[in-house]
Amino acid sequence: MTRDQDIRAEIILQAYGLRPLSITASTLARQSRKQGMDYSESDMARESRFLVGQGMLAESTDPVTGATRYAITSAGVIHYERDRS
Amino acid sequence: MADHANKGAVARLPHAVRELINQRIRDGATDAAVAEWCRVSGHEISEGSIRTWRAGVPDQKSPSGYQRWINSQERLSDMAAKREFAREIVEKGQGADIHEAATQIAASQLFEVIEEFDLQKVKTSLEQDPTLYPKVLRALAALNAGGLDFAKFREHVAEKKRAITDAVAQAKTPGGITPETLARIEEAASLL
Repeated sequence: MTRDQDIRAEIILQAYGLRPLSITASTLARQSRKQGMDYSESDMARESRFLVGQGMLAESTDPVTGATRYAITSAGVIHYERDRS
Repeated sequence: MADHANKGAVARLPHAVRELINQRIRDGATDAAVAEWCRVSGHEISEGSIRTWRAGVPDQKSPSGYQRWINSQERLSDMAAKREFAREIVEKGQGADIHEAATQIAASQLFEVIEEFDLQKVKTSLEQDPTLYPKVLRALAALNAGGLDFAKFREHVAEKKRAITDAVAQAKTPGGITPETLARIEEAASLL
């Protein structure tokens, strides 16, 4: 897998584990670094936006902080449970 | 991460089959037993491929496919526990009145607070500098006081809502809203 594909796999894993709650790119990056990965917040934001475009994540705005939050969609759940490699 | 775990025979199997292989390995099945199960299920996978999937390639440092699966299962379990903990706290604090969407937002925010909290760091800091201990106690006391104030505020709001509900019920009686009833509604609403 390419690095971007690895990042997307990590995002989908975290979003799946957290469903139906949402998560910010900052927390996605921090959680991935705890696992020894070197993904930055901008990496996570970029690939999260890509996954939003693919319909696997839904984007929302935190009403308190204004931060962008991402939650897995049903298509994302199906991808994780059935189609991921 | 282009490594053997992503290119081997097991990695190329359908996800559902791979999941069952991982579960069998986790449950203690031997490599031979898993390979036999694959064969019976219509997938010709050698015992060697199962061994590689389980234990990895000797000189390769990255985790094996099975080890990655175990890691992801543990992470999912950990996230689920923190997620449910966050939701319980929010739901107990807000009661049944809060909209589900608001609960999810609050629980999402609380999850991130829980995730950021590093207990070992706190322990190490206290061991290295015991003078921090009173600060921690004061912070906890402030949190507790804040929670108490919030609980009092919620009770105040609930009391005023009850007053409004009663006043509206009275207004529905024959004769409509009396000036006294209207004044009570206005007073209750202004104090919210």
